[in-house]
Amino acid sequence: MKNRELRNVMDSRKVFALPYIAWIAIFTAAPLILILLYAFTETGSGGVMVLTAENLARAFSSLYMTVFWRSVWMAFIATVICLLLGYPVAYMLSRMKPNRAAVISILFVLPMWMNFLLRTYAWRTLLDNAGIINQGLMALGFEPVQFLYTEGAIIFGLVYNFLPFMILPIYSVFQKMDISCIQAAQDLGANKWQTFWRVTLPLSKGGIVSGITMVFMPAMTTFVITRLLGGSHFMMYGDLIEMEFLLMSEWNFGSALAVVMLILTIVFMWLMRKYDKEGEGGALM
Amino acid sequence: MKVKLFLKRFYLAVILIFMYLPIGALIVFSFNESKSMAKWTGFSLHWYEQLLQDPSIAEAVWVTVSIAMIASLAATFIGTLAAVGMDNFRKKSKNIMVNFTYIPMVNAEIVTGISLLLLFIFFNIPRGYWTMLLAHITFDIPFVIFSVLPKLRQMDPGTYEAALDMGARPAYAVRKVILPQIAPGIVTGFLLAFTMSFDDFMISFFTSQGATQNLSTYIYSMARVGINPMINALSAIMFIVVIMLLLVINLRSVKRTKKMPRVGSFR
Amino acid sequence: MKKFFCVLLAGLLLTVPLCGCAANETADGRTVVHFLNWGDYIDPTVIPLFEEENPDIKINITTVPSNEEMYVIATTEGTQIDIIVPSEYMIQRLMLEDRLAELDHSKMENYKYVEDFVKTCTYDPTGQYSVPYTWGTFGLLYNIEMTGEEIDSWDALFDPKYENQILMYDSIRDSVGLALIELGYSINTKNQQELDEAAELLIEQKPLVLAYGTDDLRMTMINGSAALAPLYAGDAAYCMMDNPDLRYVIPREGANIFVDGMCILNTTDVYDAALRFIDFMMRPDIAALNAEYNCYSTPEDAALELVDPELLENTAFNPPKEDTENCEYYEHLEKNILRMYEDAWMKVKIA
Repeated sequence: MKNRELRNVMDSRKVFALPYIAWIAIFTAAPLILILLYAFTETGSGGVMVLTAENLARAFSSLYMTVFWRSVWMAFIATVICLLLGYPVAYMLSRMKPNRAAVISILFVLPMWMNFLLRTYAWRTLLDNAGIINQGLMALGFEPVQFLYTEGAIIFGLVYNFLPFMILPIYSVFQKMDISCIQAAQDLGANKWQTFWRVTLPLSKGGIVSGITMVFMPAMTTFVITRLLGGSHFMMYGDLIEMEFLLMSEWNFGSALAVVMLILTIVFMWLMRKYDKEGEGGALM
Repeated sequence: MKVKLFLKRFYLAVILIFMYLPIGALIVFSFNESKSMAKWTGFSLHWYEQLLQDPSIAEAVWVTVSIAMIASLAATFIGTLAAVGMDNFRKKSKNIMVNFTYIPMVNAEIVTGISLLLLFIFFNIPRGYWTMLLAHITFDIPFVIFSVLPKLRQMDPGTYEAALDMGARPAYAVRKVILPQIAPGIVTGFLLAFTMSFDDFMISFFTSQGATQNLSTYIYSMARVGINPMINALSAIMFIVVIMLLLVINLRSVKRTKKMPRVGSFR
Repeated sequence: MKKFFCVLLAGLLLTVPLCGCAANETADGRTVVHFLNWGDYIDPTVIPLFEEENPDIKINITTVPSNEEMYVIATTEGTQIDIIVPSEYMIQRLMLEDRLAELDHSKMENYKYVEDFVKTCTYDPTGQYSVPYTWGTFGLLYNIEMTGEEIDSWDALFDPKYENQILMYDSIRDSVGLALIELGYSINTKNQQELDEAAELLIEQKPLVLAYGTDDLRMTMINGSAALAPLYAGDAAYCMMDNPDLRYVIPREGANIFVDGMCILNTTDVYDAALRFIDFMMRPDIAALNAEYNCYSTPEDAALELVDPELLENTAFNPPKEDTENCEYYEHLEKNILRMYEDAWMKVKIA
């Protein structure tokens, strides 16, 4: 009897989630339904909405798939570089004394307090043909280098902007990791590389997956970096979506492009959920 | 061994320099006499003077700060409640909720922004300050939930039941027993939400649609014509303020952790 | 703490439904007029001056980089925008779609200053829906130090010897338009074949181009980081003031000539305040102030008299009459034709 009463009281705590459920319904679910609605319809003559698969077919046509695959490729390279640069940083952080690690991990968050557009713009002026870096090169007797408006510049900008999003989740996984596993492996005679490949790396998989997600998705869909550093020479998927909505006012087709991104989102969500058994955002933060 | 330590330090230093180089350049050139960010022509404070006289920048700052503040507070409120509630859901329904919470975090920002724009258009809500605020709350909530949920799991459910056994009413027990235990998670969630909101461009850009400008969208429209060093001056000031705040918070938390060892972490 | 949260949330829930009607008024009861403008198109002292003379009105300016974006933001349902300054072809489209409010000339003291110019505006010859704010041509700006020769033709933009020194304009009508001119076609062509050729030409040109951009091209030209850029005359004049090596030319093949006009959207709730602002903008001293700031030609002779003589001598700001005779206005194109232009430009961007 007593137990049952308790259960009921516990159950009543569920009501606290009600406002959020309403919020999800209005601000997460409904907008996505609208995107689907727009993607699969067309406003025919007289303002009547007609069902059609044409927008989606066009989104998957070769012209637009070129942009898709190019974005995937650029975002992929940027993600790999972020991973290679960020993983060692996260590992080192986790081996430091907690206080120092806290300070340094804050150092990686701090740049976010300076507007990212501004930081990117600063890179643009630094990397300009007449900018400080080229002035330095010339003072040292080198030929000036054309940094800006190249694919390299875009990837550079992507890495710069999204590196913290790779470091932090991996670091947080390292923090939670049971250090005795690593010690056990070493006690059992594994050498450093074996310990790394067999124990450390697999245990940090969750952090890597969320790091990849947090870098890859925004990298694919940026339209600021391509504009500021790439001189709009190369289009990422974000440029494409922005252009269809704001320049062409093709809302239906733009939504179809957004649906393509949604498919990617679902893939990444599924991947992340695999490493988040507790369902608590796990390695995400 | 010493070489290795040096290499490690060196590597970290290089990465940090990479992160801070443009910020340093911005701050240095905010004191430059001319508009250029390539040539140093002499020390001057006149960009700072101009900054204080520019009403449109002040307004953009106000929009940014007030939206970040209200949005992260509202998100903390809704998110904390939601986490406390979700923690008691059966596995299946909790899973569904977690999935929906994932969406704004994983989804491409441009898609979130556009989908919200479509929503506001659909319901004919004029875009501006309020739509930007609603959008910010939406993408802030997951950060709070995912900060609070792990703290709830670490909590000993027995204490809550004990409080009830001793005659506490549920609301009272939540306030007096649960809240203090998850407080660190709430604070982390709030700070994360505030930071995200403060730095957001993409979603603000689409949901305000020209009617209101926060700092990000203001700078974006400026970047096309060349950024005025006033903005550099402004960000230098903001940056210094944030560093000071963090120092204060950090010093306080260091004191606290010395007194009370953290529960649950392996260290 | 909890009480604070409750009050906050309650406050939030109460204010959200009210946002619709509160949007056009500040907290202190001033009427807010939303003005959707081009970047750097108005002297920053003009708004404070207006607000000082009209303490009951607050002007809120936001900017866009292209006519197309201006159209989308101004016409999307529930828009807050009241005043826009689109170019003539966009005005034409907005008039056709019945989205503009009629301007009441009797309430505009300063209309007389633009009256003569209005008669030459074929898209709205009575000034019923728009008053001209600026006009100019879309020509070629080049750095004579870098090219080493005078240039008078669009050919230079397609010349391999200027590889990586060429900037291109990132907008549908302007870029496709200049390719059409280069090929000897009209910038308002409705011929698919001609548009295909233009797209092909622009794709061929792509490897030569350093960067595509809009307003930001100005900084690149002033810095001397590129040699050639197609630019609006006003932007070109602006650059020439900062870098003496720059020259502006209306190429011999011809160019686009444009007029940007101020219009009030018929969805506005603050018609009178908006009209007062437009009237203020036409006052010769204000028009001169703006012209000196953005370097775009003003339609008001009365304002020209007040402008800095150095600017008056600038041929980009004040081109000789015969140079503009070879120029063509953009016309508004129907949706299916426009789609052909968009597709052509898309092909170029993706290539």
